Amino acid sequence: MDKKKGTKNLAKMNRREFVKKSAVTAGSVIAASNLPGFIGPARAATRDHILIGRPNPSTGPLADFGAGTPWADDIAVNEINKAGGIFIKELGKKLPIKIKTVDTQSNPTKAAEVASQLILKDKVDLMLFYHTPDTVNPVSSICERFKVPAISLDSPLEPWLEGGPYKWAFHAFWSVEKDIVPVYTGIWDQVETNKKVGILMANDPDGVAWSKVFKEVGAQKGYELFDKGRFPYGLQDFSPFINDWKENNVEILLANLIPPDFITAWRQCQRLGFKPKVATVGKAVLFPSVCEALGGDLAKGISTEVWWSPHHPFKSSLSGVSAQQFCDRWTQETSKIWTQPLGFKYAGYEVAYDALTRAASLDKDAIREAIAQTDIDTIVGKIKFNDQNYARTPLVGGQWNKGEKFPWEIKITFNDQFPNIPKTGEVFSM
Amino acid sequence: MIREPFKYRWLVLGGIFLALATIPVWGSDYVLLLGMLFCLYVALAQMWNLLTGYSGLLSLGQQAFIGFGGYTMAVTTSYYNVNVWVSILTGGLFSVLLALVMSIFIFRMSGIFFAIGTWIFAEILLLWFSNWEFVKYGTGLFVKPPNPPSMTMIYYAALTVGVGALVTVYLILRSKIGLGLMAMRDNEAVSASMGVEIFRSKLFCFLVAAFITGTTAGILYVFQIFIQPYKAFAMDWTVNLVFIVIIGGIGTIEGPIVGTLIFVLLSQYLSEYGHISLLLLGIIAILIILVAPKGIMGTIQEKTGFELLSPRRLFPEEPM
Repeated sequence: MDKKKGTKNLAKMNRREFVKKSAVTAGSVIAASNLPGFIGPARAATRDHILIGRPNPSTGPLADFGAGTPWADDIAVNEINKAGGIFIKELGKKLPIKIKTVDTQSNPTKAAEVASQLILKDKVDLMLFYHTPDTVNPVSSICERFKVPAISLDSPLEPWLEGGPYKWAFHAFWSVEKDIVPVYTGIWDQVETNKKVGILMANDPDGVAWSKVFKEVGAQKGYELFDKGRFPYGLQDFSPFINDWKENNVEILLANLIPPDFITAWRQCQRLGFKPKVATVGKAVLFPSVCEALGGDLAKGISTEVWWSPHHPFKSSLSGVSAQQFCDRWTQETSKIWTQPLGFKYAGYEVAYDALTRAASLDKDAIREAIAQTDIDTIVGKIKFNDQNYARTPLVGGQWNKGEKFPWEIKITFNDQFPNIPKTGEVFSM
Repeated sequence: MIREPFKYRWLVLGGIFLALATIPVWGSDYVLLLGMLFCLYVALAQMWNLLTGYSGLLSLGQQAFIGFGGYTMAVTTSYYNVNVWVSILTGGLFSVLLALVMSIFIFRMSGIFFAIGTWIFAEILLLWFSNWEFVKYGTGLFVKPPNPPSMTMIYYAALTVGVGALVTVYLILRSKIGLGLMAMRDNEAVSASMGVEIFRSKLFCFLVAAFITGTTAGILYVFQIFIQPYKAFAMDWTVNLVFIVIIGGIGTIEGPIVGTLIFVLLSQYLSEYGHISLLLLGIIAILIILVAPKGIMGTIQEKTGFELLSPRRLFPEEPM
C-alpha cells in the first residue's frame, strides 16, 4: 500500500509534499550556510571591526527599560565611528565598532543563554548591558566565566555585589543603602505624617534587598514599618496589604515593584480608599508611560528615585552634548518625553570608548585593565571604578505632577546629597 | 508487520556518539555550547517521553525536579562547599526523594488529574522557594562551587547524562517492565488483568525520570551560574519539553533527539529576532503538527519503517 502511494506522488507533487520539500530545502540551506562557523576557530585572521555584545530586555515586563536602546545605541555608535573608530596597535589602524543586540525576554535564564551565545558564537570583544538585576546579574556571571570584559549600568549595587568578587565585570549605579534610603526618608521627612510606613515590595532581588535595608534604617530614623511580606509578579489582589495599612492608619507608602503590578495595586488602593500622604515608589513609576497607564489623576504626587534627568549638569564626553540637549533630541526625533535610562544607555558607550581607546588593543586582558583604570565624566556623572569593580552614580528624588508640554512630568524635589543637581520643584503632600 | 531493523544502526549511533564525544577537539567553543545544550535537553526530553510517551503518565510538573535539583546543587555547593559533581548527584537523589513524596499523593490520580497534580506540586515548590529566607527568597542564588569546572568538563557531564538518559530509556523499554509499560499505556485494564504490575512499573519510571531530570538540572545550573525560583520552577520548562517531544515524535526513542536538535538550533537563531521569535516557534510547531501529526520521527517510522533504536523485540524465528 505504501509503495503505491509513493509512485503516485512521484508523478505529481501535491501541496502537502511541496510544503514538506520546501521546508527541508530551506532547513538544509540554513544549516549548510552556517557549517563553516561550526568547525575550528571561527575568527578570521583580519579584523575589520570591534564587536560589542548588547543583551537587552526588548520584550517582557522590563520592556519599558529596554525601549530606547536602538536610538541611544545608534547615536553613540555613529559618534564613535564618525572619526573612523578606535585605534588598535596590533593592526596599526582604526577599527569601527559594531554592536549586536539580542533579546533577553526580561528572563535571567534567557539572558545567560544569549550572553553565552554572544561570547562563543559572535566572539564579542566587550559586553555592554543595562537594566535591573534580572539582566545584569546573570550576564555579569557569564562574562566572568568566559573572561570577557563587561560594562554594566542601571541596576542597584547590592544585588550585583552578591555575585562578586568580580574580575571581568564592572558596574556603575547607585546603592540602595547609601543612596535610596537617604533620598526616600528625606522625602518622607519633608511632609508632616504620623511616620507609619506600609511596605509593598515584589519578591525579586530589588524587593528583597530594599525591604531589608529599609526595615533596619527606617526603624532607626523613628519610622514604624508595616510589612506583610514579598509578593510574586502578576498578583491580582492586593487587598490584604491595603486593608492592613488602613487598619494601622498608614500614611506613607514605600514600594518597589514592576510597572504592571503597581498599576494593579495603586488602582486597588484608590478603590479601597487608601490615600497615603506620601508614596515613594521604586522602579515602577520611572516612566511617564506608566503614569498615563494609571489613568485619570492617579499618578499625581507619586515620588520616585531620579537617577538621571535633563537637569543633571553633566555632558557627553563623546560629543559635548549636555543632558538637556540629549533629551531634546530624543523628544524631537520620537515625539516622546525623556526617560531616565536614556542617559545610562549612552553613558555605557562613553565608558567603553574611553577604555578601548586607552587599551588600543583587542587583547581582553588589556581591555579589562583599561576599564579598571576608568576615570571619566559622562552624561550621567563621574564614573571611576573602585577595587570592587563598581562606581556610584548620583541619585536624587522626584515627584510626578501634571505637565505643561507632556501629560506627566517629574520635578526634582530632593537633592540633599547632590546639591549640584538643581531642584525643579518642592515636595507636596498628596 | 515486523520490519528488519536498520542494518548499520550501531555504526550510525557509534559515529554520532564519537562525533559528540570529540567536540572539544574539533569544534569551536560555540559548537561546544550547542552540544552541551543539546545533551541536556535530550536528557530532559527523554525523561518526559518515558513518562508520557511510554508510561502514560502525563506530567506537567517536570519543572519541580528541575528547580529542586538545581537548588539542591546551588545550596550544597555555595553554602556547604560540597564538590560540584557530588552536589549534582545529590540534586538527583533529592529529586528522587521529592518524587517519592509526590507519588504518595498523585499516584492516586490518573490521566489529566495526574497531570494537574504534578503541576500543582511544581507551583507549591515555586511558592515555597520564593518565600524561603534560606535561599534568599526570589532574589536567587549565585552558584559558587569550591571547584568551578571548565566548559569542557561541564560538556562531558552533559554528554554523560544525555547518553545515560538514552541508554536508560532503551534498557527500560527492552526489559520486562518496558513491555508492561507499553501494554499499560495502550490499555491499562487489560494489561492489569494480564498480570502487569501497574503501580510498581509506573513508580519505577517516575523515580528514574526524577533522578535524571534532577541531575541534568544540576549540570544546567552549574553552567548558568544564577538560579532564581520564578524561572527554575517555571512552566516554561515543561512547555519546551512538550514542544521537543511532540515535534520529534512522541513514543519514539529517536523523536526527542530530533526534536531537541531542532529546538536548540531554532532558539539560537530566533533569539536575534526579539519580538517575533516566540511567534515563529509557535508557527513552526503548528506546521509540523499539521504536516506530520506523529512528529518527525513518528511519521518517518510509519512511512518507511526506519528505526535506529527499536524498543520492539523480534520474534525468535525472524532473522536479526
